[in-house]
Amino acid sequence: MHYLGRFLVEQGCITEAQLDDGLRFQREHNQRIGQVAVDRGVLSPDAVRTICRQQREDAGLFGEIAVRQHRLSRRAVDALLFFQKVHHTYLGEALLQCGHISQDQYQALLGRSYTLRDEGRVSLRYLNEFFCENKVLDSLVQALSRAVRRFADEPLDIDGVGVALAMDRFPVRALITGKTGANRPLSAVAGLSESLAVRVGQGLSRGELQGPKGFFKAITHYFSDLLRENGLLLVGERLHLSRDLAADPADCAFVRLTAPSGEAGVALWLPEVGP
Amino acid sequence: MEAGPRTGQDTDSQTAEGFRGAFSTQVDGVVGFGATKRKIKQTITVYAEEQGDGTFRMSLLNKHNVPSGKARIITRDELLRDYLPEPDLYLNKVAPMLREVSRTVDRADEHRAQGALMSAEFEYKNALRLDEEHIRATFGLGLTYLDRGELDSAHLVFRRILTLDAAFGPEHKHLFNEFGIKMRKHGMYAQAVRYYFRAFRLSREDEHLLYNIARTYYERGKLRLATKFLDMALARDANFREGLALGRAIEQKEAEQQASRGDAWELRFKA
Repeated sequence: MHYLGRFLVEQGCITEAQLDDGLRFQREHNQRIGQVAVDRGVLSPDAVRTICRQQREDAGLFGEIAVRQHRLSRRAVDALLFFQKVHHTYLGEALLQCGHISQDQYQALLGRSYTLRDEGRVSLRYLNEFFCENKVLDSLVQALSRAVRRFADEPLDIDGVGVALAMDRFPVRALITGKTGANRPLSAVAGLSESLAVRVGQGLSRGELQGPKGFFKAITHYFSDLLRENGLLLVGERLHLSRDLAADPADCAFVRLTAPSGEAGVALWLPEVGP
Repeated sequence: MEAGPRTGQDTDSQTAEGFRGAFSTQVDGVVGFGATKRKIKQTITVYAEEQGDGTFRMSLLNKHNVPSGKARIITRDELLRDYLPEPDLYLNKVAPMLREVSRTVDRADEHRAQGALMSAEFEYKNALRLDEEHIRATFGLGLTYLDRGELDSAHLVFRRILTLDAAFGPEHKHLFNEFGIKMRKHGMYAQAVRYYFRAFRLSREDEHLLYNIARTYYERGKLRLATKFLDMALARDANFREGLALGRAIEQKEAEQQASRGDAWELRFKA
């Protein structure tokens, strides 16, 4: 699932085939830092494999582990990250390179004018960095889907992304707070419509977890596991039932989901990390 | 007022409209380890540009045939003795690539000036893919991230700039200043100080750099350090107008702080 791509298809900017093309371009051109290090001759493939193995065990960042193991200096890691950044192609750029959108469209879709639209305001950094690079929203959506499948035995499909949602349309909701990545505060709300909440409640009554708190505890648990798999740690997580995000909707990322019994929604706020 | 560093390389980096071209030479190299170790002859290609004093500024050509990396100065005799001219390479590859990089950065600058920051990033990255050490493109990319408020990315570019000596040369003074100002505006004070100190190491006699360091400390509220560096700047030029103005601002802030401390004491005493 590619959020930005999905969003562009929904907006009628590109076709499914063009999206596939852009995603293929990205897969072929974007490199992980280990690959960049091997290509530039600063690490051997064996060293990269060793670091990746270590990464699976302690969930640290590749560069941090390489420095800790005295395989790379901080300066070398910085240089590799810079080269990776310069050679990284965002989906919008890939679509531009493939000729599926024009330069003007690219700017209009991803630039300021777009983000300032009255309807469906989306923060620029979410479009650019968050959707493309960050695994947090993906992990949260997966966690919610997993919990709905477990308790309601229903699939949860993504119905729309980006467009701001009024979270009070989901009467059963909870706020999850914590810190992730580079000590970055995180706030997220996951909510269920009345009908879906009833269906989930039936499943909950059969298991050891009880009530909405049990359901959201399960989501937090899955969310934390999925973040760890993506090399991110969720620290100091707390659950607040029926609470909402304090952040401006323009700075939040939203995902609308549907299941046969009803709807669900996710809103996420993740601030830019200062120096 | 902001000021860029004056470096000892001023005369070296001011390129006159002299002769320029591509050259090649063969060097001995060793490849492999142990039983597979062997000597090889390797051809390297360079770009040389005549300076005002008749010497040549020479840089290696990268895989895109763009001069990249640290330049060194050699004499005309050394160039003619050790290198073979490659006019075809220059005319068909090097010159067109140089034009391409320059045009791409111009386009990026234009996008940035118009606030089209996504397109600006795209073009700066395109230029940097051809010449990873292109100073204008590196600064431009960093400024674009700062304009977008993406401080993580700006921080990455900042660390890159610190490794590029040429970024602190006088020909990039305008970009140097703009980057410093924007870092301060985003509260990246520690980075701004590191940045100015890096330039100061290359040009120890530049009062403008000392002024910039003092001003960063002033904005950060570290008045004692601000005074120290301002004094150093004024020792180099006692009539430095902006420095004198900053001195007055520091004095005023110190007086305000002293007054507020006095008020606090008075209140505590009354209580």
